[in-house]
Amino acid sequence: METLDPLLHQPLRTQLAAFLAGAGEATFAELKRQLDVSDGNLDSHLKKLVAADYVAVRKDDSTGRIQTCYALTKTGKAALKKYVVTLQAMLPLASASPVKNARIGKLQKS
Amino acid sequence: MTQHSARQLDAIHSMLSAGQRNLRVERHSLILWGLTCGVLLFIRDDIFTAAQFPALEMQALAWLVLLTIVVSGMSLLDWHLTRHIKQARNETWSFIHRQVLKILWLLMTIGILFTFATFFLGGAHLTVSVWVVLCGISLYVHGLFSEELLEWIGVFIIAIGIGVLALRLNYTDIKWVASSTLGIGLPLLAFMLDRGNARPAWFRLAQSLFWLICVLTPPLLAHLWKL
Repeated sequence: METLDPLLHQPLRTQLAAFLAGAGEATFAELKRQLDVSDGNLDSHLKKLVAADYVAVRKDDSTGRIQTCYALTKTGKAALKKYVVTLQAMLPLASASPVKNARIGKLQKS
Repeated sequence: MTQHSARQLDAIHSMLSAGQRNLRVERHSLILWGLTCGVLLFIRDDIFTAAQFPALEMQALAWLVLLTIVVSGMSLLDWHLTRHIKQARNETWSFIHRQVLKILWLLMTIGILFTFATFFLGGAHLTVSVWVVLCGISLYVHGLFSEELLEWIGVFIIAIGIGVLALRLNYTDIKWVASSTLGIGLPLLAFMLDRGNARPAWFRLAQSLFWLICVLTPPLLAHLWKL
């Protein structure tokens, strides 16, 4: 059986990656509000994802004020996709929800 | 392990969904547009009347200028306020959100041109209904990328716009319904939004029915009291 990616196999990092996969890009403040975590906690998990090249950082100054934006990289998307496939393989077929599979299927196609 | 995998997949599904629907309509947008449209619909018989503008062309032009100034002014104000709030909250202003605002402006432009055209083609009843339907469509489209409640209320507003024509209400009643739907309905909606929390359909239906009762009560009372 395939092993789960240890970097993504942590609840907060899984949620971070999934949120970025859906939103495309988000600022630190948006991620903090969405995940309801402290600055330090979020920062440490983001640093791990950035170090592994799962998440890219971009400085945006188009609004006159510098914002730090985070987005999943190709490597991050591929890792999340592989992580989902591995998780699904661990589930018995009967417990799969068609609606959720369709949504997750879109992630896999993207 | 199976249970843990299922929980992880649920969490991924939930966050994917939150990421895909992370647009937030700002309260000031609903209040600005709601009050503007509500007031314009309510006073439309008392300003730029045929007595003030004996020539139909001049009356039509006056309305075109007024609507263009008010609607474009509101659009600019809404745009600047939204940008200011997004900056203050350190949030990104996504491409989709900007596109949704453009759809709103497009619909408003259609409304202005339609109003102008009715001076020559007639159909005051239709004008009010079209404005209400257009607002409903814009909310529904916004809801597609944002909060479910916007979709629900958008559908209800479209139904109200079509309903007043289908029920063949008289013009005074239509004016009351339209003014109340936008002038009271949108500010009320602003305070009912819950940041897109996942809720069961029956809960959304109950919220929408509560909204409908609040919006239809004033025109009903006006009809009963012959206002």
